[in-house]
Amino acid sequence: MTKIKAPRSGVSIRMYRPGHGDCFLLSFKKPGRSTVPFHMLIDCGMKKGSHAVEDRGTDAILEEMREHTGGKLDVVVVTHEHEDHVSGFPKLDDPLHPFKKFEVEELWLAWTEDPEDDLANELRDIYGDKLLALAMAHHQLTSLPAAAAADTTLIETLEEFLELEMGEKTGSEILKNMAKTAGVSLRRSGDRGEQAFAAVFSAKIRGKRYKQKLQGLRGMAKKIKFLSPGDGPLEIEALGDKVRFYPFGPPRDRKLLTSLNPRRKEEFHAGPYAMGGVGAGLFAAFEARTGDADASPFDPRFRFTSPEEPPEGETEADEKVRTFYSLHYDNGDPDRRIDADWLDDAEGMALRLNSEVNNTSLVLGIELTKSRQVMLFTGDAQAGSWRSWADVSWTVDGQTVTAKDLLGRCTFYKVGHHGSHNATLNGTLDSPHANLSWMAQNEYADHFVAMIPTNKVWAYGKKRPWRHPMKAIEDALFLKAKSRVIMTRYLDKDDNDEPIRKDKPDLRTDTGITSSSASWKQFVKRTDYNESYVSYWLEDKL
Amino acid sequence: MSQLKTEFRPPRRLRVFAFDPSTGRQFANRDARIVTISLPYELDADADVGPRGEYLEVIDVDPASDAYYVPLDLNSDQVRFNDGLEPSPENPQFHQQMVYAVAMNTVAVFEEALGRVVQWAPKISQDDQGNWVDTYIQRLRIFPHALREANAFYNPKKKALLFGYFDAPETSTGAPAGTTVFTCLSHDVIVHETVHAILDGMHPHFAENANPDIRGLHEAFADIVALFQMFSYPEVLMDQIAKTRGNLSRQNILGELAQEFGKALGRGHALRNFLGSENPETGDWEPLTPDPQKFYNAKGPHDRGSVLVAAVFRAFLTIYKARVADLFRIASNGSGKLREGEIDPDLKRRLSAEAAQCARRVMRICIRAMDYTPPVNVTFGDYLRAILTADHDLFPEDKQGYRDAFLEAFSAWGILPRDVNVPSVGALLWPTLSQAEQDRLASGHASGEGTVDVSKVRAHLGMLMENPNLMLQEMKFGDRQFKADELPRRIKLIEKAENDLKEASLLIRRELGHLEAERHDTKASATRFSKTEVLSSNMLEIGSTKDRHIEYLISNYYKQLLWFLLTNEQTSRFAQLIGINFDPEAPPTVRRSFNTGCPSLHVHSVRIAKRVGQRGALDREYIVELIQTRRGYYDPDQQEYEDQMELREENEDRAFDFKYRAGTTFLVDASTYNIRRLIRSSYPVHCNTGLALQRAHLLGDAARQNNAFFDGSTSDSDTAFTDLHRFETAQDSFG
Repeated sequence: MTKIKAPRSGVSIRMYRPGHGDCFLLSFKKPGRSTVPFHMLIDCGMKKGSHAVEDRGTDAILEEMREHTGGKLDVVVVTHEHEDHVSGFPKLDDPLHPFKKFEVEELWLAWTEDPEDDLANELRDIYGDKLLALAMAHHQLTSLPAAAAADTTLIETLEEFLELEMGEKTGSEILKNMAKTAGVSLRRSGDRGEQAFAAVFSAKIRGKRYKQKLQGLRGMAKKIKFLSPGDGPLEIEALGDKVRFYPFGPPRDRKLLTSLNPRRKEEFHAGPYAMGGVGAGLFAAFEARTGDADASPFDPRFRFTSPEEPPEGETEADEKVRTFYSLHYDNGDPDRRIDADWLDDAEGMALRLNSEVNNTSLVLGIELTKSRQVMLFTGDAQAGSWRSWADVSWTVDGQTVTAKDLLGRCTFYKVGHHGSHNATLNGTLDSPHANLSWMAQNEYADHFVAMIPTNKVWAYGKKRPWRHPMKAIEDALFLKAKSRVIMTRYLDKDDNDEPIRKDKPDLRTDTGITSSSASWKQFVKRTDYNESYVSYWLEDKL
Repeated sequence: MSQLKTEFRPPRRLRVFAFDPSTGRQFANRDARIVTISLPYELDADADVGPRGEYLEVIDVDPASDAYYVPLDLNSDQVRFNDGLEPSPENPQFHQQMVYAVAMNTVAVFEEALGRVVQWAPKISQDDQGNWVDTYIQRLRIFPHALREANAFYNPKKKALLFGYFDAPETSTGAPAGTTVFTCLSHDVIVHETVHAILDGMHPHFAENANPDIRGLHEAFADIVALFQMFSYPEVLMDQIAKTRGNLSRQNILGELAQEFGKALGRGHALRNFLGSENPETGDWEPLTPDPQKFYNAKGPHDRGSVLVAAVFRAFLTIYKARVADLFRIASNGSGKLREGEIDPDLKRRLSAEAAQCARRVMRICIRAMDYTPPVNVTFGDYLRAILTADHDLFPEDKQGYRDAFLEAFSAWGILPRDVNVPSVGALLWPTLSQAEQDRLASGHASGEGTVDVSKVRAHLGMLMENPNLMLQEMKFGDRQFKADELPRRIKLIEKAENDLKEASLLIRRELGHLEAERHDTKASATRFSKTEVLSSNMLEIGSTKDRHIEYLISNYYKQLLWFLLTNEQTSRFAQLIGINFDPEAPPTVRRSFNTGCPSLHVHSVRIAKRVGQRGALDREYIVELIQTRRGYYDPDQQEYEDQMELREENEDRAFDFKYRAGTTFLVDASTYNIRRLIRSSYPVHCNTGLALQRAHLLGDAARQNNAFFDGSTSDSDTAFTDLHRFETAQDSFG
């Protein structure tokens, strides 16, 4: 195995291809005579089951990476804690994990992971509450009796999102783990999911404790840096003044990062739940169900305890009243029951939570100072984060540099959120918010290259497909990059319309170039494909 | 009970809140807080515990709280002799009473306006063999406490209204923070959701997101009925007339829908306030001036819908002002300006009477217009044409200027059909069959030779309606010569028709038998209808005097007959005239019938409408709706690929991104069998322009979804009404 040789000028960018997920290795040549390159790893994860090559996941990739790098990573960047970005990192108690063999100099995280930051802690509390409600919603949905069974689509959607957040898709398991973390033991009898919910709810340990995934990695790093937009620009001693790092996001703005907390504010005696907070009703109902309080807004004398049992004092009730529910509801058309409809809100909450976590992505602009080209790594930042960049600026050598200046020189874009809707914004150069048109202006325009870490074959072939990348975004990128777009896996169709895997990009003639174009030839020369990764050499020269 | 049924019974009177309890709590509105709804006894004679009756069943389960609330016994003395339970938010039985009374009252309004019984959309499901089956739904379900969120909606899959309750937040300006707000105690919300259900029964495809207007029409229509229904309560109206001194364009609570809902959500005013808004600078309430630009820029069903509501309300005000101008002059010695102070009680009563009458007429026009729309892909412009045509055909002379008022109000807001150049009432009336035929011939690209023989169409329709059996015989043994290769297909088709019809008539006879046994109703006598008699009489005419289930079956039976007639009569010129495509060469994405190999036709409904016209004459017509469907794709390249595929039966099941539909409604005069009006959707099914428009609309809508996993399925109608209230959208995205 040969070690990675960093290019004399610029950077070698490797996009590993375990599956649907991000794993990027940047290798720079250090100034001076050292032959050991400077390695920076940005994320390492994949969605469970999304392998690009069968049985070849992050473990195999990491083994190979260790050989190629010599086992030392100068900086590890984790953009945000979603499965498809962090599943390759070890948990706290996993000494045999392949990543454990690495030596990690520095770990860079977004300010939202800083335990000393009040706003960050508050956000994590809210996150924890929402997660708790989601896990509980899943638990409730899956505990319904067969006759009242909920729509499987909703359950599957929740599982997909719970797995992205927690690496685990069963609500009751997540609740149990949460209870374990909170140090409460559950009784053997009764509904253990509800017990766990009640225990975690009253334990007052909140969001910060649920995030466990990075504990192992945090322990390995010699130094941890928390980055905020506008910090720096950071320079690294080992690289001299060749490279500068500009944090763009996540924005320090509660409104852009999260919706309201579904949990009630404690200073009010009986509510109110934050309205508009999707899931507020769910939380209220869960609290009532698991606590001692009465869940119903009506007095007990108005209620049956089961379809056949009218309230005390109503035992003389008319036969028609007594049998009403068993006759007309329980024995009616099962398709018209509404047992699970009140839980439908969970889907909206799951989607929103997912976007909120995406928006906590650490967004980095990396400048090669000689040619002043910029690489943009956005994690999975969505619209909320993009809109905040226009206000970010830095001072370099006494000059103000804005995010718009930097994007104008952006010649390499790691496409946000696997090319999904809402994670690459559309607009014009004059738009007030950052967007694709702001990137690669003037002399930089002819050098733009994009990488999309998506296993399109898997994403589009899912039972409920994810449009990653979304066609409109893929097309816009192909046009802007004049076909120089790299994906983990491409999707093509054979004559029978069956999807087939493809590893290399097509030259799309609708982008105005041909295979004999100089720019295309140069691009081909600078890229390398194999089953583990795609690499691209970005030269520090226009 | 049953022997009492035929005797005279006084109406059922039930008390409800006219306004949301939040408004009701305001001292100023105390006089108009509670109203009594009076339901004719015959409308729902069998209503019982639940309440559960002919049309509705209130099922008060609260799964979030694991509770079943004691159902109300409508026939208990406490309810019967006391105008129902005392309005009280703390008693769930009152909630049941209120949703029942308000929803039934809405049903009554529709039956009066349409001249037929209200039918809910049938349940559509697949049987074990994968065949699509329609199941009759007798009762809409109402769940007053189904959800624990600030939401209420109609669920088209469950044929149910689901109401939520929630705790008012800190930001609430209505109900005090922390108190529980029940959406099922909002008169407006109940009417609104019931109208969704009724409209879905008439036009299930209006829930499909086919263009920017269609869901807005659903919302606006529901609001219009909710608003004008309020004018039918004299207590409320007089109070408001007194407060606004007869000028209803001033702020009044009649015009604000769903106060409690909106105020508790922290928006400070009602959810859909179409009369005007508070000027943020002066804090004064100002009426909204019509602005076509505003309509043009409005995105999403609620925004677009509120423009339509504003236009209808403007038409109402125009008419009302014209009608009361003389009263103001009389009351002011000719100056038209009233003196300061309280309005004269007599004047108040007269103004209220005028307002009530105007409101009633406007609401009926709006409801009746729903019989005059294309069956799919309807736009606001189509709705305007429907309003004008429906009113014109009933009252050929526009003595009080209703139609002019509607046209003026809609034009002021910029709501006009795309393809009409001259916005006059005459130009906007839907064409008659012969007008359409003249246009077809004059257009220069008429297909087929010669003209469509309008009188022959009429004769066939007449025969079909009067004596279906004869029609069948004619088709079987008629003197028409078929090509040899066409013959087997013909025979197959006729056999299928005969089988289907036999089955349908069997069902009808069986149900009639049940009815007779149950009711001892001589009119329902099943023995009068032998098998042949069913096949040789105009069942539609009989059906309308029978119960709702029989009417449903009869309508299905005629759907099959008409399908057969039209599929058999598929000459290209007639097809072109009615906007239906029977061309075997049509794009392969157009759904096919594999009995004929031609594009398939769905006869969506056949129903009868009765109205009292200008000179008090009873006017009857049949409404026939035809629909064709095509597979649509977001990617134009894929569309092209699919449109070039070979026509094969298994390709019918290929995946698609959305359904593109086109269709036609005809109105047939029930005494002459003339096709009175031909109401076609803007583009036929093979038309790529129509398809591209729908695609652009759906992609634009998708781009506004604030969701990275969005798969573009906004066209799904199952969750149409849920999503309207649940999901937010954002700008700036790719689409």
